Amino acid sequence: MISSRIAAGIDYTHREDGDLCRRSECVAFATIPLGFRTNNRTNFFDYTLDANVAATYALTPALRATTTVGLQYFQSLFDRNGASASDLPPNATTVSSGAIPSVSESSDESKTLGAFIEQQFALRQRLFVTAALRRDDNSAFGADFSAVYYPKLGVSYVISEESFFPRPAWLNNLRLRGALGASGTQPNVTDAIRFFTPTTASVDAVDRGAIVFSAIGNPTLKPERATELELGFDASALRNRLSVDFTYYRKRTRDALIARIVAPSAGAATTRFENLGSVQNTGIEMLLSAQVLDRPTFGWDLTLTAATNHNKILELGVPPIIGTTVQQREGFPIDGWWQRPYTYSDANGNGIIEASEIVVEDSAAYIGPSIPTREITVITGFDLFRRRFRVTGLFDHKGGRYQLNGTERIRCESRLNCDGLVDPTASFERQARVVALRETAARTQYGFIERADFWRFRELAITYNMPPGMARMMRANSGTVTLAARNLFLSSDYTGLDPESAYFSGNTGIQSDFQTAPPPTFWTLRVNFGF
Amino acid sequence: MTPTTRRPATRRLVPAVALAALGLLSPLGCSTELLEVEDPDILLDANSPAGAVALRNGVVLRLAQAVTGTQGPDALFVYGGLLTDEWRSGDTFVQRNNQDQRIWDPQNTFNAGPFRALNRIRVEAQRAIASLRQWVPQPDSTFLIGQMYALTAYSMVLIGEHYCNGTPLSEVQGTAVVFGDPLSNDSLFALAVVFADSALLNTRGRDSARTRQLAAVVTGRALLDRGRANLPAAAAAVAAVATTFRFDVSHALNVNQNQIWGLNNSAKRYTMVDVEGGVGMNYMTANDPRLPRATGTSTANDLIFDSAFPLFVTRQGIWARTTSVAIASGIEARLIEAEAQLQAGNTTPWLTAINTLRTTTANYPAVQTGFTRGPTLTALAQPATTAAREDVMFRERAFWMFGSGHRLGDMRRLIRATASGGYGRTEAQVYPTGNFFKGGVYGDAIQLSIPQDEANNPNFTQCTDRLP
Repeated sequence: MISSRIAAGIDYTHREDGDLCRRSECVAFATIPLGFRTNNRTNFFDYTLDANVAATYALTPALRATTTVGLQYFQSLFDRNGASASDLPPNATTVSSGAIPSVSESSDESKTLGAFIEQQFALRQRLFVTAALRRDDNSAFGADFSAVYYPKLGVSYVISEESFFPRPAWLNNLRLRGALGASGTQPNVTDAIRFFTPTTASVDAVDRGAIVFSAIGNPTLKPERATELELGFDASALRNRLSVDFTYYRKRTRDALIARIVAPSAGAATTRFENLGSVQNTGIEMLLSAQVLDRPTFGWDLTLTAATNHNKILELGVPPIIGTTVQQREGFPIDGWWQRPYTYSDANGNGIIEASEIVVEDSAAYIGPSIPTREITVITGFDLFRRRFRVTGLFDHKGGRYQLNGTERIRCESRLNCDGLVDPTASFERQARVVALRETAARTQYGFIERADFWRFRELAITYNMPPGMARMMRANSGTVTLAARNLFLSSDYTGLDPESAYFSGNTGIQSDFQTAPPPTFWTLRVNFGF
Repeated sequence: MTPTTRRPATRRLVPAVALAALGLLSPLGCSTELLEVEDPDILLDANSPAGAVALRNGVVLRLAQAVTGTQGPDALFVYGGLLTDEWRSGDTFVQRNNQDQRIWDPQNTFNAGPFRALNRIRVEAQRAIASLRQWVPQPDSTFLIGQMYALTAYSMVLIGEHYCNGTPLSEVQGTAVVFGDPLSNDSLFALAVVFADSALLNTRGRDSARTRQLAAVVTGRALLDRGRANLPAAAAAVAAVATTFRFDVSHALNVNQNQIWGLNNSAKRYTMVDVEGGVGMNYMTANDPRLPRATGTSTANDLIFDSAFPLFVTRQGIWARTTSVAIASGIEARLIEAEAQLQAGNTTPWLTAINTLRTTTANYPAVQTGFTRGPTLTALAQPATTAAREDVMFRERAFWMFGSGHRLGDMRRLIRATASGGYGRTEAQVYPTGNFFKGGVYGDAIQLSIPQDEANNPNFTQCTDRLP
């Protein structure tokens, strides 16, 4: 049997961003009271072509095969025109009315052309073997790099169906699976290109066209290539009331795309993307679902998902990449936190940690990873009163991650109102981190990079299923009312407001806490009717 | 179904699948053309006469961004001025507060901006020189090449004056970064003299006189920085510079607004300061006509940005939103000559030079709207001691060249050992000390640290030393 499929499409999005501050109606800071108007118009086009042909045939009565070849083409185009003006006349609201107008234009385009061939064999609908090869070429690859090939091999075996398998009565199904495959991450559109940027310069008080050097480029830039091994099983038991999915993975990424800091003495861009060394991620992923109680009037179900991830730079290929608080070094996690550690003691016994009572080490030491090493989610639901009501709770845990408590750091260093600084009864630990930051030559932020583990009661929801008669009053077939609350409770030793106060900074987007609001607690009431 | 009935069907499928595969995969052969994209935001080269001139204009923009521009982080003139007695941080940003407090901190994230920007002048100027030589007819436009050499030299002087010993100068060749080795401040000054010499060799054409005078002042400044023994040579270098000469960084509303105005007058993140740390110049109470200023009185509009320390901002009155800033001038040339006279013991000609500048009101900067100028300066009497004459010398430089990136180099020269060509003052006599107004005490930084990002240069570890 031959089947084919061709899908082509265009996704188009138009966005307008406007900002208006009438004269004398906005905050009294700098030139803002003079008023400003911004009007930016952006178009996003995504073209997609996906075509494949599959042939399914039997090689023997027990062995069936499917061969698929396919072609995929993606084109993404972004263009934006921006106009803004400041110093508006009273009551004016248009860009053209501003005394200081400015315009901007930008666009980005990327294209990917890929093709694949996949061969699948199915033996007695129990053993499935899939092999595939994919070739990708992308407009963002460096000039010295052509295309990338991604092979894949997967095996899935429903072993519980075999006669030799000693299946106990409580086990319904057991599937073993394994996969080895490669995938890639493309560079961004201009990451490989050495280029200049046109702009305007004031030359001898006259605005003139100018060209500045913007990006060093990297002609050998190629996609980050990941090879992943997955081993696991899916099982169901106890009349399918309990199911377990378990996966172990080991993902090795080589030619990792890393924004390498360019030494400022080079007088060039701040960073340049390079394919550096290799990174390994290992961990497990597990899903456990259980229908603990299943009665006509009462039910209790439980779902637990858990995942671990341990990330390590196996090889960097260049000297360590050193940022202010983050470094890339072989043998350590990517984007790990590094600072100069210190020890302290209240040597004079006055209850106050002083600079002379702190010893800072000479060089930075590794503190911990910036991304979680484990994540757990627990969802539990209760069906009550003949299943008229359902109560669900969702609990989240993230652990193993460290976070820079930038809010507290700025309070201690600049605002001078943190407890470690102003409260003489503050713990020595709190005092020491302030003194180490403010009064030692190292100015180390070591004490503010904290473990950010937490458990959060993420959601509580109570749903009332309306009786059919009640729904019919609304001329509906069914109806539900749900009252839900998000972010009800947090348990954490993190000393900031919330370990999920997310502030992203720098090229890597490492999460830190810097004067950002925690996730709010909020309530929703939702009424649904089905017609 | 039996195998014998299935096999022929399978065989029939093979060519069909192969044909489909060929059809689908055939575009891959021409993927290079198919994947070509155009990005109008960028230029891949500037290979034309107009491109070469645009590259030169780009260097002028980089210069403005490095010293007084609004793009990017704080530029050198204001950020370096925090470390001196010129500016006080009116801000909440700890980076500015620490700099004002003289905290030595290579991790200060504001450090990298001006350092990178200064090196951009140098690196992009060399690229512009190559392009001008290739594309622009000579000798009429030679002055453009000379200007690029002079600005390269100027950037080296600024790096040498502001940063510690051990500063690398790296390059970009094609797409490769060629990392530089650590250089002493004195090596940078010597290099600056060489590049300024190259500028002087390329001064034919329309704007040659201005380029020649810029190179001369940069040469004199670099020699001044190399020690007092070089003062005669420095004076000789600037002798032909007209007192009215000035080389400006210009600003425009849509291009590059004046950052001194932006951060001080408008945003109030910087404020002028009087006698900072007990030893700074009395820039405010002196009521000097060279430094018009006004201290605010409105609690609604005139408090510094940091509301935790509600001080009234003192705004400078030299520069408005688009006022140009002189980076080299004939006044600087006359001050170099005067210092040479002082060094030679010619105290009368020295004082004459100082007083001639002081009493010529045409030398005073224009006063911006809303500010008033102090009374015209009078001639000074001859100070009684050498130390007092030196005080006058550096005070005059501080007031004539306020906010233009000269003060930190002068403060370092003052505390440099006499054996090393300095004036042998102590750090406490020159740099602010004692209690910092936002808490704590002043630190011990006497220059800017090389930013931590430079550790990504394998040839660099840290400052060779922190000597003045």
